[in-house]
Amino acid sequence: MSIISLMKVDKQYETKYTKTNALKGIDLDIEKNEMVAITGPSGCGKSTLLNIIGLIDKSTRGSYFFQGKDTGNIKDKEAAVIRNEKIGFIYQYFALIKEFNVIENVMLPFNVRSMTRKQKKEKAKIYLSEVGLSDISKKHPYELSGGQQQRVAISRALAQETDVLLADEPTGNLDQDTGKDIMNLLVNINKNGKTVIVVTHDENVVAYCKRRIAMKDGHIISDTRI
Amino acid sequence: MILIQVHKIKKTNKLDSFIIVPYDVTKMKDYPIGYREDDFMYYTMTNSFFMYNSSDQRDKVISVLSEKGIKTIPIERQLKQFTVSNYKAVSYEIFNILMILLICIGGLIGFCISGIFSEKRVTGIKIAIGYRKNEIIFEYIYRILKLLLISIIIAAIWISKEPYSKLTMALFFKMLGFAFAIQIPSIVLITYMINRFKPRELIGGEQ
Repeated sequence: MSIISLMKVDKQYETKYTKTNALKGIDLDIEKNEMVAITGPSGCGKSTLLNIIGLIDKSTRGSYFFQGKDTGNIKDKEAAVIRNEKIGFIYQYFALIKEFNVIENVMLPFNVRSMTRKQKKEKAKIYLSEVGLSDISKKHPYELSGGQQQRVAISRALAQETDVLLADEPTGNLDQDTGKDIMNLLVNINKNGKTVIVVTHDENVVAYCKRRIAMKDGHIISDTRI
Repeated sequence: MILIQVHKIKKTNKLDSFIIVPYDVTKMKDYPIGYREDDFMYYTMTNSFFMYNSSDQRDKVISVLSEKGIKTIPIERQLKQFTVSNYKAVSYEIFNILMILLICIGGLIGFCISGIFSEKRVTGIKIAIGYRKNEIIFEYIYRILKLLLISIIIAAIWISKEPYSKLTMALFFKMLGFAFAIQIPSIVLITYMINRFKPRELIGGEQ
């Protein structure tokens, strides 16, 4: 059974004067443990698709099943639990809170779980060491390089122990070498059993993924497996 | 016997210029000791005590004093004047309190709005990693509560150090009540703003 299944999904953004169809009739199935790249030019709807998959946004029409569960009528509370326990996010600009130090950033998803501070800290330390950053846990994001910040973000997503990892241009703000390191890290995460979906327009990033979905003007124009 | 309590005279240091009028002892508390108003002074009878047994005697005293050129003012009229001036003072106090309340509410609202806007991105991140909007709203409310609690503690210390005021439990709970009441508009605003946020618009962009 697919872990992610979208059927005839449309997304329309409406303002007072305009209507924009960001997604048009998207049909997509993603299996467990796949590593998928969603590519396409700017404005083709790939980030919108990622937001819908990540339950950050809702589709205007169509159905979206996450692990067999219809998310159409899902309540905000339930969606939040899924985002916390089943879906991890990585963003181009890392999405770290600058006022928090590294370990506090990694501990952030645990604040909505019933865990003691000690448990949160211990778990965060484990996942920070997994990305090789256990020695900088007291530093703040602004003291770190781009690559280190992205590793912290990955560590936070890993700490959530989710089934799916969504990455929106994860190397978009990094130099080529650091980008490679991050992609190798994501490949390893995928090998350890997580489904990884990467949105990118960088062909170097696409090369790391076994499945490539190309989008244009809100449509999927190709879906190839290597 | 009628007890003579309080009287009002033209301000003077001469003892024989004191005007003495009969008055009910139970109303003495209405008159602050040594209350000063323009050229007049209120006195208690502690150091200018005089007693008489009838209204005839009182009239006689008044007439003697009148002959000495001392103006007398009946206590009822004094009471009325005092009440009017006191009422003005109370109105002024109420106006001040209302202004302070409005400033507090405005300050809290400003504090909330600036917090919400400056932390839009943080809110987006929190939603993305599984916070519910209610939890984010509660975090803001918790922040205001902490601020108000600090204010109450400062006010309580202040009141307890004032010589003529006393911090009672009733007063403390009244302060708590006010503190909660003034944060209601802020809570409504926070709830409205956070519920209107669309997380997809919040997360993107650099720090």
